[in-house]
Amino acid sequence: MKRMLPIEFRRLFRSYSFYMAIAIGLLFPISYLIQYIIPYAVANASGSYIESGVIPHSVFEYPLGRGSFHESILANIAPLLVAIPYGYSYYRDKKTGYIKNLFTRSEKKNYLVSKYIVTFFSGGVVLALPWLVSFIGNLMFLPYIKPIAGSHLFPMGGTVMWSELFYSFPSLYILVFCTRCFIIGGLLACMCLSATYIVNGIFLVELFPFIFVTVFNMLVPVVDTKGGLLNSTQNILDIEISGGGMTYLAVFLTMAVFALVSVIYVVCSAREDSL
Amino acid sequence: MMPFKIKYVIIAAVVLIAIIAGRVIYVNSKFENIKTVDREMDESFEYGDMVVTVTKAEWLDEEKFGEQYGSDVLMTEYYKSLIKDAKLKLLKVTVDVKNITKEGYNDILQWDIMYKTTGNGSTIFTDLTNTVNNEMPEDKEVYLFFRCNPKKFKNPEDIEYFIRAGLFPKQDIIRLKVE
Amino acid sequence: MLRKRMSFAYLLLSDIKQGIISRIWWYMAAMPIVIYLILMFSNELNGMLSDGVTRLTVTDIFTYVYEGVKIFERKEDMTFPVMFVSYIMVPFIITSYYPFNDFEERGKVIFTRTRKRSLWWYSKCLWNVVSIVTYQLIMLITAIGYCVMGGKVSFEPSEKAAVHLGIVTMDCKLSDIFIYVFIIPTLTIIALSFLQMTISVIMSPVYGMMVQVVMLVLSIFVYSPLLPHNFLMLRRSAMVIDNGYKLPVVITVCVIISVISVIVGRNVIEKKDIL
Repeated sequence: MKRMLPIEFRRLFRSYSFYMAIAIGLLFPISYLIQYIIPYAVANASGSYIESGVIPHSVFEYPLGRGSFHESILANIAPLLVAIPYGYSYYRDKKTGYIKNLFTRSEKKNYLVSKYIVTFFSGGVVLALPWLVSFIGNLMFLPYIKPIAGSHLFPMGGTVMWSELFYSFPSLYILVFCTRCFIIGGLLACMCLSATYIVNGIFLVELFPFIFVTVFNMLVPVVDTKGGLLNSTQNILDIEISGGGMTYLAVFLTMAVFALVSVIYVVCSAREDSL
Repeated sequence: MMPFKIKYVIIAAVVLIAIIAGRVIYVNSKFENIKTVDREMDESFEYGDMVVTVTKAEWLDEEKFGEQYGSDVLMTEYYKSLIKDAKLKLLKVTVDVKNITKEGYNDILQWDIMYKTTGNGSTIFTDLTNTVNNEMPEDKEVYLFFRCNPKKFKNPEDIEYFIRAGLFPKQDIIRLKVE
Repeated sequence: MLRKRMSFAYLLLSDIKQGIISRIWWYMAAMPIVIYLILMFSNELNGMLSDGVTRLTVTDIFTYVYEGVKIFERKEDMTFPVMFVSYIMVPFIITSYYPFNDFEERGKVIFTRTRKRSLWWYSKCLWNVVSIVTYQLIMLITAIGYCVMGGKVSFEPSEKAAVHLGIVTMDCKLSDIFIYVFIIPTLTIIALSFLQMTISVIMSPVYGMMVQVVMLVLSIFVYSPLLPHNFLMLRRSAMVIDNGYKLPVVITVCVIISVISVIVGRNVIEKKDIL
């Protein structure tokens, strides 16, 4: 594992698709910054908030996408974005026979675990980075004013999940949210590993997370009629959830469903004789 | 491991962090005077000539609400589903206001009363506040209605209420307890 | 003999056989989607009305399928239509990877045996049209099947459904309804799938799909004829709102997108390195 993991990471960092996916993901926070945040910063600088008696526009008032389409687009292209950097690598290794070279030189388990870790990391980074960059961008232009409960200015109702964290330790909330996105991104990317055993064709492997998420989003209202058990990816990647449907159980179960797909990879790769 | 030397990556990262930190410090230095004032806990507070006291806090039967106070926007389908989804209950807080003025009363309507659990320091608040009867009363009780999670606390009279009075940034946040 | 075998007609028939008939179960995905939407709409309609069960007609069903959302005003007033986005993407998923997959697998064999590479491309374009029409026909057959089970097949909108949705009124001409509910969505999906196919051939199917998703989500927030996914939402048509899209605009935009996509795709294919 000590030798295999750096090799896999080197392959990831040398692939241009990784940086391409990050660049596509970063388009949204940067365009949101230019379109919304900078004008708010200019409004703050003019002092208009003093006359109207409200707080100046602050960091936590405008997480990515509030009042616009940026966050929705990112949430919907997430399954495609996370598959771009490293989703195809396992399929390609198998098809080209490269995997046999590795298995003759190292334990099979080391390769498979390293592949999973690196794929998870690549998907997680691609999805979490836009949120982090958005937060840092906000920090650079808007003042750090702790969210004020009951002001109706901040994108969190009082009764939603983690609202207490948001209003008590807002920076920690942002980090926790980014971690959630990281985990979701990683799990979605790892679906490509399982897809190697399900579909045939490198592009179907890359499209598999998107197809799975599309079907999943269609089935959520069918399976979870009352709400609170499962969440669509649109909701789970939305920082502005104010409804009652987002619960700890829903987040956990949704992640569990995504993680379950990875079991196919674990089981099939363990049974398969690759040589 | 990286396609370019790690030394340059580290230098670039340090420079970037320095730029970001500098910018953050600069932006926040412009807004140092923005803070709210927390006064010590008191049983009542004076807002101009008005004296406001929280006299009572009780759980309210949602179904009887309409009968007692008439149906209003609080009981629309949206809010009913909000109560059901978030498992909230209706809390009625009675606020006694003396020497009420028109401006002061308007400000009361815009006040958000928040409540805080004792001990852990986190702030929990309701989804909606409203008053019934928008006509200005004369030195009488004002009812404020909140939707609260009953699991957070059992006895509403033990809650500390925060009244955010006035307009930001000159706001006062006053803590009150039931008399 | 070889030249005759690789004629345009042969290529097209081969595409229909390989791309549609042997993958017909992909197109059957339309059936559960339509059935689910019928059940949802039926439940919605009959749950709210107390005077007997309303049987939906074919037009009612398709009106509900392509209902869409109102023109975006404030994000706070809008629930993101996750279900709509999911099932609208299904025909694009179905037609996404086949052209590129065919190019990768059989491209070398075919290109060396045809007179012109553009014949391959044109056959793919026609395959695309046949594909989308097949998908829409399966939806139509499913809707008709539901009406047959109810005892009556009708294309007239039912009054209760029309009033409930507020899209089609009893005063609308049947020809107009037919155009907005059946023709315009089909034309739009065909044009968009040409665009997707072109991007897939230039870059990869993942990017083609990404462009589709971005345009679809953007069209939910922005009403513009430059975003053709607006034409898939009947709530933004001239039947419902004064400044809604009309058939001439739809045809113009769809034709422009289709022509440009076909020409660009042909040029790319002719110059692409197939070895």
